Amino acid sequence: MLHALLLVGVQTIVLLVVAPFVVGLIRKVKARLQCRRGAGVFQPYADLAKLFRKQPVVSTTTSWIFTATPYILFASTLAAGLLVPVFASKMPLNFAGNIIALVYLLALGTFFLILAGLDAGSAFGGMGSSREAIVASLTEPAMILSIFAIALTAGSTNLSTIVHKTALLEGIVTDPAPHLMALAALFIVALAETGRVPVDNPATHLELTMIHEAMVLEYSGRYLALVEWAAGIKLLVFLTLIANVFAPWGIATTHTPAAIGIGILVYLVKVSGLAVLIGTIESMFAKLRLFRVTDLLGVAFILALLALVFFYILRG
Amino acid sequence: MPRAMTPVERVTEAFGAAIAEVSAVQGTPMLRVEKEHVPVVAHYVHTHPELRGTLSLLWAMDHRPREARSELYYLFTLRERREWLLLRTELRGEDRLFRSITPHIHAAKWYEREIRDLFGLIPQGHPDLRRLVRHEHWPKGTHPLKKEFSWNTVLQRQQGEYRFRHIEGEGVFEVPVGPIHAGIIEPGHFRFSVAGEPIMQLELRHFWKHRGVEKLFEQQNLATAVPLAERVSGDTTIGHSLAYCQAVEALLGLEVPRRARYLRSLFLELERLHNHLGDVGAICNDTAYVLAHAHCGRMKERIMQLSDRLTGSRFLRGANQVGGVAVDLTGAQLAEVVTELDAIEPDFSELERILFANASLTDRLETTGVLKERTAWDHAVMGVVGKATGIDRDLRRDRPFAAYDELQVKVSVYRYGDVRARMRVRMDEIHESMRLIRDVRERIPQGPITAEPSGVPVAGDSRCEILRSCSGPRFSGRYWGTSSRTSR
Repeated sequence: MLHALLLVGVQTIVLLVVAPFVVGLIRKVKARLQCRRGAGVFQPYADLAKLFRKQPVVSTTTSWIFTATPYILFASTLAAGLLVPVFASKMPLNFAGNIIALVYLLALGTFFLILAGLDAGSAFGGMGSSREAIVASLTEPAMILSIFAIALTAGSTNLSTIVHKTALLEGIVTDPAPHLMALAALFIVALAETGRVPVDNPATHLELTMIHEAMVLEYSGRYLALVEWAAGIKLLVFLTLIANVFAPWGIATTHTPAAIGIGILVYLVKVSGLAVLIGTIESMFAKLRLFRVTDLLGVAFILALLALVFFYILRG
Repeated sequence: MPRAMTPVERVTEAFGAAIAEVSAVQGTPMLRVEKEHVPVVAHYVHTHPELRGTLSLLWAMDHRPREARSELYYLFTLRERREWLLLRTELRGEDRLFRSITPHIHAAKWYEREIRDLFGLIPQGHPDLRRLVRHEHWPKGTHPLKKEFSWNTVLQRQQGEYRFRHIEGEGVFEVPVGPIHAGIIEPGHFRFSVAGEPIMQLELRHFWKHRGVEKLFEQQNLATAVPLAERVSGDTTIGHSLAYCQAVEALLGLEVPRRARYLRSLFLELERLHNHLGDVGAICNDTAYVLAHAHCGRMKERIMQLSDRLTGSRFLRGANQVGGVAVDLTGAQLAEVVTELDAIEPDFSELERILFANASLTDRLETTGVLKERTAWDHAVMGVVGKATGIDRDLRRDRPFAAYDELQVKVSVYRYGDVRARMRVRMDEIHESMRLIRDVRERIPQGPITAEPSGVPVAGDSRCEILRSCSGPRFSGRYWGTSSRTSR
């Protein structure tokens, strides 16, 4: 029991600590590619600390939803993070580690964020919420299908089982085509869900083009800190999914301290690599027109669907 | 075959009785029209197939206390010949009413509202008489460009409300943007009426920082107003100061030496370079393609540091003065300019290739923000936006000033009117500016850089009038000067 609590505790800490680092690393990569020196990779920690110390300003027209949302968002995102195998494939919470639970825990946070965007009654909040709802409803099917394609190979929707089996090379199809297609689909979903270029621009100052930023414009102080931190964790959850579902090698398959130590190190390397990749991609593309986002997410959906079809074809 | 009629002959033939006087200002024909006939004459100039005049500027003057009258001037640029035609009308005594030409010429809309705000003259028949410059917190009856208004008047703040046009209906929302923005940009209020994503109406509210620049000019004397002209617009130092200096020089009858005219062209092109480089970057930045923004920023910075080394000011302030330029460049400095440009140009060309090879970027630029030629024509659009819409006008070529009569400016014109076309115009102008600067270095003669002061206005009578123009990267500016022996 104590052992299980310890493992969950370590995973929580890893998620909380690594999330701002990933955000900082992406910014650093982008800065370097722009010939800028950029802020240090640990700048987001300082930003969070600053925001937590600041007094939040809350509009008088808001309801309880506005103040409750940051906590719900933070909690649901963190809970979603605990369902994903991070550094060890067999986790104590794996009885709940279902893909469907993961998708809807993330959706719960998004849902409340959309409500909070509407709550303050500001024009941008409503606009951001409406756009986020479009993006969210389009990413959901693509996300579920792409993970299902992997679940079929492993014969389970339980993330721990999927990762564990893949890590031990059990049940892997000889042809990697479905995996690669599902990976591409999930990567597009990750960019869309976490508000990155080419779907959304996290660094924009143009209110009219914002999606995620428009929803959270009204937040300040510790509420903003929670929202930002949750956004970082969400990004990390997606990177973890990509890293561990598609390339789980190096993850701890046993619970010895040495295995877990290696697991954490390998995890950091994998996640950093993905962060560099995202930073590079963000530097290579312009943001899509809002109405083209549907096309991109349509592509993700088709890729995920093809992955499923290919799985059955290849299995004969 | 009969001789082609001049524009003046055409107008006088059509409206003989309405034209009170025909004269010329520095070669630009000027017709004095009785005020009740202004709308028909203006409409004629605007629509006649041989004239097709676009309203380039509309301004007013208050002649009190010397004479109890106000005057309105309408400057038209005739389409085919790119010639100017000035219409002038008088309001005598305490007459405050004039006929609006906005119902015929859309481009006059804001000019007339501004004249009403600043001079207290009322355009009769104007479709929209809401305040424009004079925001609602200005007290009633405040018209700062009237001569009796003192430049240092402190205004009491009052309450008031601007009436925005509302669109009502199911699913129609108003989105107010600004005047305070998330980025560091000038204040401007934009009110969108949207139904979902499509914009049904946009209302603009500007002029949040009225500095009273025109009034401040009245407090200066001719030579000391150059620093003020340099600061009319932060990034258009040379454009404004050059237009101003040229107006004053024409008033004083100063002949600017050739070397100074070449240097003025060089400075103006440097200014165009740093503005255009900044703008190309800003367009990319707004599509979230920050990489290009960073590289444009780097190149812009090189130009600005070069400007700093040449003149001691990153914005080229203090380079111009009445009668010539204040800064002479040695042969080594001119060589340095060319070396710097030789280093930047391949860099920029490479960036250009990267930009147009990037499908995600060109998808954002093409068919975005299309300005139709007809709309551009109705709004008398000029400059980069005009050139991107097929309006082939450039003051440097059409009415050469500085050294542009000897430097051949190639004007690039695109027809599509979208963001890509506007970016292309800027990029082509960057190359053209670099070419012009190299040309300046080849051709620049030796000699003095300032004119000998003559000290007396050129005109023999007590008043003289002058109109001088200059086209900078962001504007096409015209300074109208009148001077009398008694005034400054």
